[in-house]
Amino acid sequence: MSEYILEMNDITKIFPGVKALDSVHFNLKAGEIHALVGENGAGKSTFIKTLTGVHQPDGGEIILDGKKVVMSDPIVAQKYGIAAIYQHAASYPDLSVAENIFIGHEFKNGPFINWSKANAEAKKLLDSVGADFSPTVSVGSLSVAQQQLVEIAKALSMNARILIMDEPTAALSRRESEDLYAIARKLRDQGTGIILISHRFEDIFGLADRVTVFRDAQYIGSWNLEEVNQQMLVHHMVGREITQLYPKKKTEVGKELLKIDHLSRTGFYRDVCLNVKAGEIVGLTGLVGAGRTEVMESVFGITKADSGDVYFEGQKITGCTPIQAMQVGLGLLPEDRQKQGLLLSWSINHNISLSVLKRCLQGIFLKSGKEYEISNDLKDLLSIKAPDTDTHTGALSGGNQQKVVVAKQLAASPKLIILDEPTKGVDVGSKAQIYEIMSDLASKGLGILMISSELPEVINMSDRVYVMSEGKVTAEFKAEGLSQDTVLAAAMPNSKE
Amino acid sequence: MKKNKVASFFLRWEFLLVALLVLMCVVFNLQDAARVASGAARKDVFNLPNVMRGLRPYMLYSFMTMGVMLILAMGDIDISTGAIATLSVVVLGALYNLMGGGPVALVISIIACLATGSLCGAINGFLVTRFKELFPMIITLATQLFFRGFGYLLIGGSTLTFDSTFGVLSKTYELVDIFGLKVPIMVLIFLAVAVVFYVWLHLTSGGRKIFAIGTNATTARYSGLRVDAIKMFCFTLTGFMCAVTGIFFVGANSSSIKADLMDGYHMYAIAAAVLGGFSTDGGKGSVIGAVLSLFIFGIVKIGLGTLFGFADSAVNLAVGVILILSVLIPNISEDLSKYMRVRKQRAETAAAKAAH
Amino acid sequence: MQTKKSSKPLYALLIEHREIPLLAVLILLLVGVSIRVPGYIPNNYVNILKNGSINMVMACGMLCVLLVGSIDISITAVLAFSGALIGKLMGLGVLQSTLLAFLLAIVVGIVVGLVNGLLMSYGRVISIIVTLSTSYIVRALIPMSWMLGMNKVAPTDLAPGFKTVLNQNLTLGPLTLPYLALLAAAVVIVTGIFLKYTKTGRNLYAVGSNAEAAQMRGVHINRVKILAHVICGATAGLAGAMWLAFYNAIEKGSAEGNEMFTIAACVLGGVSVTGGYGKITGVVIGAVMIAVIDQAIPLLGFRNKMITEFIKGILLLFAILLNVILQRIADKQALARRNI
Repeated sequence: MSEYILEMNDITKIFPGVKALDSVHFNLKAGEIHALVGENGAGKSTFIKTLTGVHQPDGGEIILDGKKVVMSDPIVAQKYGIAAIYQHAASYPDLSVAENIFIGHEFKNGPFINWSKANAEAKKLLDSVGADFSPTVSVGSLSVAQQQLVEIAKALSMNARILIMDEPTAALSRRESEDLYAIARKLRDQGTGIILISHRFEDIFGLADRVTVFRDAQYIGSWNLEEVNQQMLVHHMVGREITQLYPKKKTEVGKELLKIDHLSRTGFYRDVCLNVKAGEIVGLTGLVGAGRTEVMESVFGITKADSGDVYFEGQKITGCTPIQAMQVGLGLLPEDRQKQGLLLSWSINHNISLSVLKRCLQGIFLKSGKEYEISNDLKDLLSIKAPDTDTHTGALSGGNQQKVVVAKQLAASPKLIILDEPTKGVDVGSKAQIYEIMSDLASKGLGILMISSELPEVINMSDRVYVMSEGKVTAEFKAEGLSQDTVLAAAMPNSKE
Repeated sequence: MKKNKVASFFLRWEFLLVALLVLMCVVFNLQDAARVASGAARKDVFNLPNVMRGLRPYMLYSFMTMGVMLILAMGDIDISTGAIATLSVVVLGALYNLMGGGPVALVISIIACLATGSLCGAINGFLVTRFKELFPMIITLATQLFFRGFGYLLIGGSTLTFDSTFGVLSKTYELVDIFGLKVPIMVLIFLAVAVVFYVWLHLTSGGRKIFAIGTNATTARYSGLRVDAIKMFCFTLTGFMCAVTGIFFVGANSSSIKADLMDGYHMYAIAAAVLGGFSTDGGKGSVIGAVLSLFIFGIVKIGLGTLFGFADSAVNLAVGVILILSVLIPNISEDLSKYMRVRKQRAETAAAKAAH
Repeated sequence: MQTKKSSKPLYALLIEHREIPLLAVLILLLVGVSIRVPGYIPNNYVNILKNGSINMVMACGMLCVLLVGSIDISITAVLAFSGALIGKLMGLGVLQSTLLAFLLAIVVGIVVGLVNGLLMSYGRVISIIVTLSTSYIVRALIPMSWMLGMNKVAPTDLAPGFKTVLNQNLTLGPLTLPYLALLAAAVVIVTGIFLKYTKTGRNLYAVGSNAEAAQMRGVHINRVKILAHVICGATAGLAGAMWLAFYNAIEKGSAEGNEMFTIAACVLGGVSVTGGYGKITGVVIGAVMIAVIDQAIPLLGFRNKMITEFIKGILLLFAILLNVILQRIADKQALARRNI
């Protein structure tokens, strides 16, 4: 009998058009925390889904306690003692906390569900994870962090032998994260094998015993945590030295373009002040949920701020609509390119021309020649990899999709572009190209405001950095010589309150 | 690549609809000839003049279909169209009689009718854009009851009758001679309207924006489109087209008006638009397809009714089957092609492994 | 973590129990009518119960499809078809047993529901289009199934036992309870227990609330959706038998358009049309409310009964907008509590 409770060998998974997993390996011992890391799109989620029976692999084997098994169904995986805490899309907002915890393994009286027992047991579990809300409230009324606690309680309720934690701390404050670490350690000491997926290096180095790296759907390697440091891990994840990634040019900083003055929106952000000058790249960072995206959505006119003002080139544009914002010269690259940035079933050409339809008119008719002129130019300029501009954007890679969204903004010839997580889920090659585009634009006198959670890119690409935490701007730094720790300290929520 | 383009032209939805239309005409003609040959009928009935005359009742809702089409293209739905048309004609009739009749009263009440339709549409548009949490289906269900009830509130259960000046409206139901063929005036007007809608929806930026909203309203908003204003406009225009349908309906039905007319028209309009390639998911469809579908439904009803002796309601069987197949077939073919692609990829992977 | 025990504000209570405001409106309505028409409730409750029962049964099925985020507008076509079919079979002398007649009607409904479910789940056709089509088809089947141009089932066609079975009342002291209403109550209770206390019932909620999560937890989404449509079809079939047994006649246009009132009963009762939320109690109140409006308006001296549609429309609009507004207030308060 091997020392592993779980071995997964040569797992391959094919989706229409892409190989999501290409012969990857993974193994897990009882009583260890094994981190699985990789960039977005490296295949981590697909891998987890083959283990939990959501997807059927196209090749490879899963060996549990030395016996080959087939996870034909999530219920089968549950029976084998595999439980998962998913990052999102895992809870039922309309159902009560107790029901969310016990759905799938309800307490029963004959054929009927025993609700009073479920509520009582749920209360015990909630207490054990330090949650102070009632098990009868609906999950939809809870905060994201509270919902995460429900997910943890649910995983505990299954008495799993193998527990998968997918980005469990993404929505948690430092204090809540530490509570979660304590729970994870306790479970490990009781003999549970834990698979931890996280982007936070502090999670990995603080918690894990071993680490496995995936890159581009392939297995890169596994190491004991003592054998590696952060730099080596990053190197394995991105596949090359990262120093050459940031082609930051020195530029002439011009006059002030955007000024945000004491902007507030109840429940999202408060008293935000910042400014961006021509030719300058300004980074805006902080944890997920700190209110960065929300501020910029109000600036661009997607939502309305409650108080405070926004100025563009000295002109007050508070409460403008997106079209007005675009007319004064503001562009916004939204956070979620698939849901907010692109029409996936449309061609590159039509996506790019959508925001500049006026320029493509001849009389009242749309002139496709003019559309192609605009989109072909931008395709060459940004070197978008596609056979032609008639290609559907849904068929492009993440990086090329992102370039199409950038092209959309550039078509409207803006003076300032807000980039919200421009490199999220983008492969390394495209990342470098996006940075290059940013540098070029800035050197041409555009102002760039980049929202990002990735500290290396914030520090290396920006001239100045603002940090937000819990809806407020907590610090402003000159980027030169800035260390990640300084930024992190400003980004962490003040748990004393 | 070239071959693909030819294939995709012939596989275009509009082309399939034309094929269906031709096929139906052939089958009906054969049946017609068979009936004459066997002595079951004295002479043929499925000929062009008869079809032209017979089409009219099934073209009444063609005008509101143009509006419903827009709404489906935006990914919304409107089931209050029949009720809007009814309320509009109730206003038309009630106002006309109130003003004591005459040509001036007729013009004014027609304007009021169109205004009523537009206002009802605007109410739908307002509710849909202001209460995004609610499905347009539920909103228009409520307004449907409301509009229909409002008509009753105005004239109760009575039937309005009119003087001879009002009879002018029935001219819209007549036929006009074009190169020796008698064509319904209504159809000619409709085709003109359809051309306008075609140009707007497929050749101008306005149409592009509507499809963008239907594909993904969030992206449309981030791209600087005035999503709410466009929706508001389309709902209002739909209300207007409903009133137009109402006016033609009055022309067709001996100029008498009751408050329970045009029940079920909303469903005919949706059915025609869906067969034309529009979907309640939004983002697709073609005006040509919708126009063809209106004719297909009309000819199916004429053919099955007069030639095969099906009762009018039984003809709905065919309508239902055509409708469901029109959505099912593209879905199934898409599933199949996806399956084939994955299978091919799998085979390639296996081959690569074997070669290793 | 701070443990501030916050008492629940009124709006939060109203959001959590969306049927409470509706109940208040219903009581107000009853009180109002009673003032205008003295003795309204004792004199009319039997009629209200009779009028509302068939809609109530169909609303139970509609609740199930709405819960999974689907909709069914073919129910009244199924009602007319199943009623017409058993009526015709009785007229031909093939079918004599009342019980068998009811069962057959339910089976007919189940078959249509199954077809609806299969087309919408595996065929990926949107439910409103599927059920619009099947309602055309099913209604067209009514005259076709009779072959000869007969266009209605008359009382003389029916078996004597069937004719009277639902037109009797159960007398409990001073109370008179129509059998029709008792049957509806039985359907409500069974549906209520199914939805609240069985795993399958809870799966309807899970699928409607978050289909992706349900799939990750091993729920077969398609099967659950098909089941919901089958239940809805079954209630519609049963409603057909009830209609025939109560009115003793049915024709091809029977109940046409009434599906909107069934949906209205559910929406009034706080059921979410996007799926995941809805309680049987709310549906019962919604259906009773619609029955009361139908029944009370003529008594209030309005010359035209059709004005009821107007009032139903206003009420429906009011109810759904109220829900949205309450939800918005609750969201705003929740944001304010975040203290940012």
